[in-house]
Amino acid sequence: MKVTIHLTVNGLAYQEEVEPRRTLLEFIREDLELTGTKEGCGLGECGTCTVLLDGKPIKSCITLAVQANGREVTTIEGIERPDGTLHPLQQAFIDHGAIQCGFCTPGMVLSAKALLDENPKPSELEIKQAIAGNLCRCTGYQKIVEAIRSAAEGS
Amino acid sequence: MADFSIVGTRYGRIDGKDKATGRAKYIQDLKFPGMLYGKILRSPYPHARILNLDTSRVEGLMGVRAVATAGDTPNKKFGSYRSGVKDELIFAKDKALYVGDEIAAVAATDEETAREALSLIRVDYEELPAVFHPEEAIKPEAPRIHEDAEKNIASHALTLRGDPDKGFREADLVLEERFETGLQIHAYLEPVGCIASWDSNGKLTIYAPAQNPSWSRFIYSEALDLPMGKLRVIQTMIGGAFGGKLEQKQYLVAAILARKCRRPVKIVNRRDEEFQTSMPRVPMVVYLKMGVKKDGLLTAKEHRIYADNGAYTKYASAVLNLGTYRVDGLYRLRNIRNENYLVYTNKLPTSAFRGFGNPQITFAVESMLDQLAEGIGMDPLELRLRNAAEEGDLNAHGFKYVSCGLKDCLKKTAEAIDWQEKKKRKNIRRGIGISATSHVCGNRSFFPLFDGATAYARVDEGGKVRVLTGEVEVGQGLLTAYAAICAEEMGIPLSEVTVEAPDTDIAPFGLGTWGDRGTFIGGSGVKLAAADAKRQILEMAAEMLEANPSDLDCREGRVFVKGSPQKSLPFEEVASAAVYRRGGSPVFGKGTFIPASELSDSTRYGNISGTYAFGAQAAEVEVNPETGEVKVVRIAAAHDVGRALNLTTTEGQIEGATVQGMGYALSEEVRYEKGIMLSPNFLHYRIPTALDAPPMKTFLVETTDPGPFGAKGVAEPAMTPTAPAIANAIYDAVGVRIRTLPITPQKILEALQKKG
Amino acid sequence: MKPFQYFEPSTLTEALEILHHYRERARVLAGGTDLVVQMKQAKMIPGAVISLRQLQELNFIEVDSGIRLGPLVTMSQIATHAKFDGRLSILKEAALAVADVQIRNLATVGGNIANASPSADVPPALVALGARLRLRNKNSERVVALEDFCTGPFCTHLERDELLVEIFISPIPEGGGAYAWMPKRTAIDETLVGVGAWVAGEAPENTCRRVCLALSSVAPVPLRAYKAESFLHGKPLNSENFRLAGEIAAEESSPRSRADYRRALVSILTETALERAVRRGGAC
Repeated sequence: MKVTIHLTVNGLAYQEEVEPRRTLLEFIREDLELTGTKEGCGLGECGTCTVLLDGKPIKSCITLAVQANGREVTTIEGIERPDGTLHPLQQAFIDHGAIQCGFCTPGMVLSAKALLDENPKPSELEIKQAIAGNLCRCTGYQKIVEAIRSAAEGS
Repeated sequence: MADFSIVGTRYGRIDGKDKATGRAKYIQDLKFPGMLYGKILRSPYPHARILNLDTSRVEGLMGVRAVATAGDTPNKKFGSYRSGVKDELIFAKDKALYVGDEIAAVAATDEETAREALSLIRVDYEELPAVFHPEEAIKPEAPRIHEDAEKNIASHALTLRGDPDKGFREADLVLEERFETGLQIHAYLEPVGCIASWDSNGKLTIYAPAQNPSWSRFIYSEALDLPMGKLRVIQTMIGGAFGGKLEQKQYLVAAILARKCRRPVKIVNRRDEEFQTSMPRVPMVVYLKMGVKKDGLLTAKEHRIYADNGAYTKYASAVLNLGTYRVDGLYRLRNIRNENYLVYTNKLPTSAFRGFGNPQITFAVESMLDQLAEGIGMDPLELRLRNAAEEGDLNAHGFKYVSCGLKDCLKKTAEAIDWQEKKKRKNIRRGIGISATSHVCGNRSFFPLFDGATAYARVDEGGKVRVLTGEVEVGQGLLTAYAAICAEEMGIPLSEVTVEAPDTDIAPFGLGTWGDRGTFIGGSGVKLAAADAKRQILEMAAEMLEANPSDLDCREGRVFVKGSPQKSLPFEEVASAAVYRRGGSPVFGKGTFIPASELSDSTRYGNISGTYAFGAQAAEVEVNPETGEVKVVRIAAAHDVGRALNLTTTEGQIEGATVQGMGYALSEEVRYEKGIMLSPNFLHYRIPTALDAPPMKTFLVETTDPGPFGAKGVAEPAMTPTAPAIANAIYDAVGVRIRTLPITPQKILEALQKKG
Repeated sequence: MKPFQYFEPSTLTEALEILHHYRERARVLAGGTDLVVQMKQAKMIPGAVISLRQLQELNFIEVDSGIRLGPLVTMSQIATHAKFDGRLSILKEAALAVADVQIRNLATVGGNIANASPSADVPPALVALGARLRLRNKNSERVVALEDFCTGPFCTHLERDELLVEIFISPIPEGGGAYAWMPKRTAIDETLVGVGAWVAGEAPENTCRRVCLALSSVAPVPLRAYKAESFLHGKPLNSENFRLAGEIAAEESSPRSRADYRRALVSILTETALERAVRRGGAC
């Protein structure tokens, strides 16, 4: 039996009927067709499914869509400006070589955004702790940390 | 240094914006109308006879559109290209040879139905005794895995150069040790997936994150009994590969299903399937013997390797027989005996992974170098410098080192890690270690018909340039590098160039991304294509400007007369004129680069690569002698890259590879019990997180190299020296040498306790 | 995941009623970071899932002479709460040992206790503080000491119709606490060994007046190192005694795998945790 949920995704209000067992990731990728959020492992161990729930990073593959009822979800598609200008973090990732294959990027950027929204001048350790749940196999993390630091300094 | 406007700077990735905004589409994001979802039934036993396969209960399930078994395939054995072995089928027919072996598959309207359908397939197995370690499998009493492979030996090769026995006699110190490396899983974040679709004329299209779209078709063609002309591979954006996204059985299964139900079929691996069936780094047991004279001259080297092939032969034979002798040239060894056994086991087939055998053997050799140094009372850095290869060397295997920055790399990393200082002042918990590496940039042995690359540069009427290549972007920044090469060569802004991911119907035949060849070979092809397109543009401009083509040049998007630069035209205007005045034909530049490499002979002697890349890394570690915990404090890496086309992406490659090397050294481990992989997930297979990655200092040593604008490869060699540098640093810190990877705190603690 | 009946009660009474009805066929959903993973792996196939989403009255943190936590308090809330500082840092340290920030943002202390994983970090820290649990069902309520609550790996005394409604420490004992732990392989990882220590010293020689040691991942349940505690009682709180206590605690542990190595770690981490606890307020 489906459950009606009301939630905001990237600033837009939705009212949808979902099966209780539908994960938030499935809802985002399949029902809303926002494919920027990725499925890397399905068990909440890699972080590529990270989205923001009321501004806080969570792993959407192990969260049920019904848990997002009445809340605000932000995906990678929701952080650029309406006129298409990139969020400073997105620009910093591009400028600092923090993107290689790009698969971890959406989750990584959102974890970083949540950090900077709460702690605008994080230390290097705080940056690493904030993204420790986002695995990256390509970059070795150094340029990701540099990009986040640069975005923090620029703000 | 020549004056380049784009090459050698830090221009941004051309695919950066798509990736940063979530617009980039990977195979999991693609959907076609009428598409079905496939799932594969896999053997739960490591070695079993398949007595009976009953799919009758599936057919009745609502939503199932196709079931496929061995009966739906040509049942022709095939193998990885040039491995010399054909031991695979699309579906196992008589025997399952590892946990994960493909038995059957279904396609259904949704994933859940497909999963349920799998559970309705009844298979009766007769379990057989299984064997899991190459040294066990090679024993005469071990169970036979493939009928035609006695003692489970898939290949055996012996290479002899010079006179190693004489070399050992002349040595003042000879050491013999056993080293063992384990399975390393690629662990790219994007799971393997594909969509297979047949058209009404029997042509198959595979959409997939394929590293080698063009030539993988050789294997698919053989397996499906389909002519190459009926096989199209469209490469989708790749979310990391590292050698793991070459040919995939999954694509063949999808093709069979799609043919049966006449609808596109998508299959995407679950992450546990990824761990259980991906084709990981070849584990090796290395028996190594080396000799050195008191003055530091290395006199001989002998290795005997037992390599774990897994249940089927993929690229492990090339990894073993080609990848493990690159290290021999590092220290000018002339007396060499290499004996390689590739042995089947009832585990997942092993294959290519960044470094391609080099990390395994280099771990052994570079660990032993330090032991030899200690044995003769010499500094390990000095021993390396004493023997290091130099430009102009022809090594014992026939490799011509036309450019070589090895000594520079060693010196730079040593300086960066404060080698002299640290060696003098000993801190009981801290240590430093160094290691070097050498790698090919392309490999002639793979494809006898050619080693090289062709590219097209297509200029349209708007002045935009599109580069078509058969080489593949896996995240390393290849497309961006090609765009930069093209823009630099043509004298136009980077923003005017796009690079297409290969569609084998349109792109030139490309050998693909592996063997560290993308920049050196592929990039050279692009440069030639760009030059050809530029020549045609200048010919057109010559008409328009009433000048001689040889008096013209193009810079920053303007074609001008050298000497009177005010006589100029915008590139776009020349391009549109060229198109319209030539009946709509775009300006089509074509370039083919064939490196100065040769096929090796039957003893594997020959200059198989146009140039060779070198590097060195030094690590500083802190070891807690009470817990065995190792913290990598910092790593310095110096790589001889010829010229860095893009400083940022080159550094990024080195940093990423180094962290993979660190994981290989310290935390990545697969455990098996009775042939079943324990915990096939990221929770237990630990790749380094942001908190584990050490600060890294990267040095790009530039040498004069025949590559495009002087560039050569770096992606692969950057992974090789990390593990031995860390192992050497651990020894320096606490005096224990661990010869098996990963080096866990438990191993260190046990070794310390034994030391007393 | 298999389909299930889903309930989102708006009052605690309603929740207990539904729980009473479904009993062992139901599972309670708090943050879901254990339950959803288990359901995805088909390790848990509940007929009904009862979400506590609307019961925000179960999310509270009160700290005065005692501590009262609602079961829906997340690990992030514990890790960042201003009062869990100084001598109460043991709770912050234990919460920060849980996975990564994404998991901590949803994972709840109630869920963590009810899941009863042998490698959980927060329960041993709470045991060191002498925490007790208030359990309620449709008709009654009872209080159980947390250290008696777990009966085996992933097993507790929680009845099928009961809900954990409060975790309390009353009063906060004198002294100070610390949680020291080692991950299995990488910096963010499951806990290999964890030690929660709470200690109070008394003048004139700072002898141990009270000590509580609770270990993670070295037994099927959070393990009280009673022998180590007995040893330390009445003795001066110094490094030598911490070391000896650590060795005794190591002997008391019964790790399932890598036993020798884990015992070595118990020894070292017990020492570390005690030293830190004393520095924070365990000294007189």
